[in-house]
Amino acid sequence: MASTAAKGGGGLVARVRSRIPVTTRRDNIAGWLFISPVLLWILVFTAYPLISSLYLSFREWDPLFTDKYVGLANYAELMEDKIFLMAYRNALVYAAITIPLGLVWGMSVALAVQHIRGRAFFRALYFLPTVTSSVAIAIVWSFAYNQDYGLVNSLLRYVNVDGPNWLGHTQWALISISLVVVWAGTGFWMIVFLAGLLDIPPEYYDAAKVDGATGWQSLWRITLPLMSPTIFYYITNALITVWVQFEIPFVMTGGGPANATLMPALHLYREAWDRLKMGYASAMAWVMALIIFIITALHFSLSRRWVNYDR
Amino acid sequence: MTAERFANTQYRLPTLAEARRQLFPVLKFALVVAGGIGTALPFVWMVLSSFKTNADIGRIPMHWFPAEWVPQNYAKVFEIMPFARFYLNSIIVGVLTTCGALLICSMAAYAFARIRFIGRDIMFMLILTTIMIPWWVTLIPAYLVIRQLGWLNTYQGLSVPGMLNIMGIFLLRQFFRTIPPDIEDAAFVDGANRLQIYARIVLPMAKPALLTVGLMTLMGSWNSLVWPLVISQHESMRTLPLGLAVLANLAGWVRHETGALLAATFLSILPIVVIYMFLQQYFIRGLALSGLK
Repeated sequence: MASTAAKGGGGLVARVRSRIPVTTRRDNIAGWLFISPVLLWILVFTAYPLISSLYLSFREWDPLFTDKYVGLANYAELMEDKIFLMAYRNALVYAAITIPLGLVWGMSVALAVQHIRGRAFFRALYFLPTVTSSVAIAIVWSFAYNQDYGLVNSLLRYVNVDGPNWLGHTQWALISISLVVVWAGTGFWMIVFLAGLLDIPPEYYDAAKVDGATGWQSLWRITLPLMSPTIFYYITNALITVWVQFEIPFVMTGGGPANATLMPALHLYREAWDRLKMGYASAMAWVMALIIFIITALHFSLSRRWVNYDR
Repeated sequence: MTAERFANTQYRLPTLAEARRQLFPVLKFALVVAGGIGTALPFVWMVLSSFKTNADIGRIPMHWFPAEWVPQNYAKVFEIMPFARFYLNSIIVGVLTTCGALLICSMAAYAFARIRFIGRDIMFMLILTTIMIPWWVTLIPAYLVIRQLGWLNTYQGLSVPGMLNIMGIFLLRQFFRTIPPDIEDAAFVDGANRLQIYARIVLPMAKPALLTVGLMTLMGSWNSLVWPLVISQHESMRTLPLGLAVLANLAGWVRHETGALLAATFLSILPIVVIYMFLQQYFIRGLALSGLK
């Protein structure tokens, strides 16, 4: 009797003790030594640059001649910089094309490929652009969009459509670039969506079938609600990548024609390295960062309310 | 028997529901095949056109196959740009970045997974939150740091910053936590120290995870454009994507040496595509994991 009580007491003590992390001097030193390289990297290449760029954004600064405190003048100048505003307008158009199209297309392909024979082959094929460099993709597509001998217009000619000069026309250039981004991203998102689809218990579909639901009803009532965390993640991620897109416009159009495909990241690069206005470009970087922080914060606060995590 | 069964079969038109049930898989398959062809066509066109003469590439209407196969484009690649040097640069930077990343990330990941030390959980959270910092914000000062160090146009300047792979730390930590602690305890009893356990026991057991993280890092380094663009100002220090991007931007050059540019582009993506074909599941796992929360 007494021994069981003692045992029970011992169990309690052990349980309490296990909650308090027991650290030894040796482990403390070892632990900090093991993480010290990563900490060094973060200090030099993340933390210091973060503070430094905020500092630079309040200055007129170039690496050679100029260093002057200007307060918020850089930010004020940005709000009146027509080209800067143009880049943000382009980014919004680009987002409005790529995000819905990428979602519908990626989800359709994921749903269609799910139970197909040769699924592994198609998955591998669709994923190919994801492992290819954006530069290579941009080079191939800039030929594909050629008005005369390009792949796109040649295919359109099979159905008797006379395609436009995709990259040379202000009206088409941004759309063309957006389509390349959707094309290149399909494989990656297909894999992510497939992972989400595999998580849905098949019993749900069986039960729906017993109740006489059509496939279309199952899609809207079961699949899409249960996929909402993945879809929400896709939207947040896509909203963030809009602002950092660089390679495709840089190689395919250089931002042209007439700034029709100028994107925020490309504009930032131009100001910082072509015109050496690094203070001004740092202010641009912080506007970009602010937008991304807001999107991330919205993601975390909204995901609690909107998304169905009930599995 | 068979004849009887035939006789009993009533031939009638399928109902709408039946038709839909039979048609639907066909439509799904058609969608997947069409998308697959759409994914493959630009690559197919690139490879076929890299064997065409420049006049042949510009022929209207477009022809899929070369009128005459000219492998000379592949020789020309090395004449019109220091292509071998670009290739070598990409390999050196890729290998340095990957080895460095595997070392520093696995060390941190091991500490976060296995060693109890003061401040561990806070440091882990802090490190993870740096993922959210958009790297365009840190790009200008990071460039200035490299410049200050005198590392512009050097391999260390191109590779050292890329060794920090936060997602890699996270994935490796997850993997290390699945290794049974008994194995380490046994080694401790035998008198091994932390470093020996990490290097001799944990790392060899983590080969699949290291391969996944290594491939992600290698691919990132091999395909990256922006960092080499700001660090390599000399032509001799350009990596493949940078060398190709610069040449593709020279419009006149493109018009005259299309075939060679396409051959170079094909050669530049070849190593990663070949590795991908053999180690597909590692790529897909790594990228899909980094894509999920």
